[in-house]
Amino acid sequence: MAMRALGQILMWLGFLGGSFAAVSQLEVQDNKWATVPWLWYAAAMAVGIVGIVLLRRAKREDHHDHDKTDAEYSVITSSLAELSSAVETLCQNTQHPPADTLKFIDDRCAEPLADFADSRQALVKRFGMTVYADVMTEFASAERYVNRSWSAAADGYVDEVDTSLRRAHQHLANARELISKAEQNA
Amino acid sequence: MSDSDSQQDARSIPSAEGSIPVRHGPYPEFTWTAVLVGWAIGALIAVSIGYAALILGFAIEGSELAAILGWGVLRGVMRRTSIVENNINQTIASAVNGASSGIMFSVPALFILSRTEGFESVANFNTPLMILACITGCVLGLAFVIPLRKQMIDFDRLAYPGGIAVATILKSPGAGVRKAVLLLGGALLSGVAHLLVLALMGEDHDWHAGTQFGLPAMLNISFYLSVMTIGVGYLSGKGGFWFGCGGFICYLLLSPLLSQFGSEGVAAMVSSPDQMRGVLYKPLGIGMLIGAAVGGIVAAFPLIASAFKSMHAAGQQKDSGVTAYNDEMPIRFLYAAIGIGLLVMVLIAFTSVPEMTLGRAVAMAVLGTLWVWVAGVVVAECIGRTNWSPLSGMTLIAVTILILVAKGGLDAAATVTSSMVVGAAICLAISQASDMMLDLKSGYLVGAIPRRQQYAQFVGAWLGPVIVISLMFLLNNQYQIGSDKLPAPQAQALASVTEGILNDNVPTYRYTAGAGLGLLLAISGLGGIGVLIALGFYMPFQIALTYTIGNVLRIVSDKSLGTKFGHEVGIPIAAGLIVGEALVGVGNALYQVFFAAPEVADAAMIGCQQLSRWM
Repeated sequence: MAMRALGQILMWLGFLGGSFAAVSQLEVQDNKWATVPWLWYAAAMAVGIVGIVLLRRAKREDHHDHDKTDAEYSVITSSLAELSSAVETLCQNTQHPPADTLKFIDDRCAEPLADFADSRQALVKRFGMTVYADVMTEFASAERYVNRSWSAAADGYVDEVDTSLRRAHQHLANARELISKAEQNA
Repeated sequence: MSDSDSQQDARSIPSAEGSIPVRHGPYPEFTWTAVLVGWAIGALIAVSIGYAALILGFAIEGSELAAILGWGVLRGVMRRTSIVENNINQTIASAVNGASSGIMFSVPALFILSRTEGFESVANFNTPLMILACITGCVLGLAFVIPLRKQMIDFDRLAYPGGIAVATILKSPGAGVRKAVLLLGGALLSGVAHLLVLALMGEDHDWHAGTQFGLPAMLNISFYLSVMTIGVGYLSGKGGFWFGCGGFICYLLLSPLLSQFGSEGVAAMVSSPDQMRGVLYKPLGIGMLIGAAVGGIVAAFPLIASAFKSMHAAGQQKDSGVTAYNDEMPIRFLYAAIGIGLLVMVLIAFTSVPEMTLGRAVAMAVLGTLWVWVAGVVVAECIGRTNWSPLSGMTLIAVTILILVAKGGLDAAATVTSSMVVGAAICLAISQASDMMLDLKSGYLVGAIPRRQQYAQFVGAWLGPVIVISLMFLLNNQYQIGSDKLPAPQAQALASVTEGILNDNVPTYRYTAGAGLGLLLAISGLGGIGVLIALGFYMPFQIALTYTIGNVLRIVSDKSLGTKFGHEVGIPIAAGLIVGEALVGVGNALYQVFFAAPEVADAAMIGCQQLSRWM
């Protein structure tokens, strides 16, 4: 905590010091590059870089704060499960009128989609950027196909609703598989 | 209720009120109807906004207008019933309109400069070459930004407030009466508010609250009177808060410090915030934007690499005959577009003036193309986080780089002509890049297939330069660009800056210092704060202050009323706030052109007649 606070203070001091140095003088006509006192600027930047090093260390330690990460991660898994279940229900009930589908998507899909998106950084903390990118590729495709099924339902194109929901379902299954693989490898 | 009943209940779909006519068959999306209507609406908007930009000095975002007109024509007149088809229509129309801001900012500067001694020849540039340059710029801008879709929209989930507003309009037929009422209510509120501001405030749209309350002028406490800006801030949410912080740092921290500890000249200037911005904060902000964007690319490299990997993988699936659906544009197409675009840029630079050497043309084309990539990333990220694009700053840097390359071996007039021809291409590239990302966000929200939208953008982008450059020539022949009837304020500014660059009057040292600071923030690991703070330095503080009100409203509403309220009520109202002011802005521009200045209306009518004959 102290390391994080110190990192923040040094980073912002460095940034403000550098900004101040950069705008402290009007243009020096005969030697324009002398307008910025580069020594002061470099010193401020060095302070900022020390702050960033401390911040990054604090962040690494934060990643090891298992309780916090676990709480965020459980939102990821639960919202993904909830979403998959809602989409599966829709896939199994393709004969329903489009108005019902529209309302069901609004009521049952919107919230888990938002929850997953809000907690997505837990994936970076737990598995790193590559797994995050792979999972988010699948999740974003799933969300886009849920959105497409909503649009198609609003316009009454039931065949497209069905196709889009199946694709969304496939992408969600891929996302869950990627997460379970990452869990095994962790 | 037993467990099995509740399980059964969870797996069934309850009945909803109302009915929607059932349709079978393919869902219309990329259709000829969408293309033709998109071209027609885009041409209409490009001519209107392009012409207004020559008179008023600013271009107006046309995406919302395109969506509403498309909604009226496709649904109202043609009885079409597809949200995603209207999305394609809107994508094409806004791609055509993308040329109006890009060209009207850059090319007219040549006409204005031609009235300066020694620069008479710069207006005699090769017109087909200029059109080709602009089209090439569009292709390059799109080819560079399309692979970033995954990173900016799927991974970083940037807000793109304008994209949300467009999606809200597109989805309004299915969103229910309540949301439509909220959208219209918001639009009405901001439209009326903007009308009042236009009627009562004249040219100055700022409320100088600080002066009224006796605060020092250096604090620059003024609010930009724009309900739309509050809506944009609301849609950006807490993620956009750092934009306002950039302004706070400038005027609430640095200015007071400079008044005490700055050099004599700076201390004397602090009570003039506009000068402080123009001379100190804006150049520093431009440098910061570049540093932050480049640092952001380095920091996000694993994500960008993953996005490329998935695009490659999609292409290989298709090659191996696997029956997979491919939502992304083939990466090889984009590589080819960049390669061919670069070669055409070399050709354009080489033939732009007779004195040009091949080596210099290659240098201009390569640096210009690289700049398209960097600036495209900067602008796409800025518009994604705040809805404001530093297009003019990025074009300024482009022209500076090109002039510095060209002026070593060419005379001043040839330097300006060649730099402006290549510079116009870069300006168009940046404009198309930001428009593409905004459209892809609205497409994401309505469930469009990205590949189709990307093709649609290419289908629309070529037409804009043809229309807008033709319009510009017609108007210049009738009434000189730069005269009282067609003042072209943005191009005048670029012309004067160009003269400054030729005289080595460029604050490169401040750009460099800013780039270092931007880089520092980019590697801090605190998301995109570098770009946002940089934009706070770059933009007028009045806008940042008003925008912050929207951020605060969103934070408070999410905390006190829950995020569901934000999605169900807040977002439709905020989208309406953007739409209403944008529409009144376009209406006012046309009113100013056709009714407030009759002689200009005559020019417009003659121009339009000539254009219709010529086409």
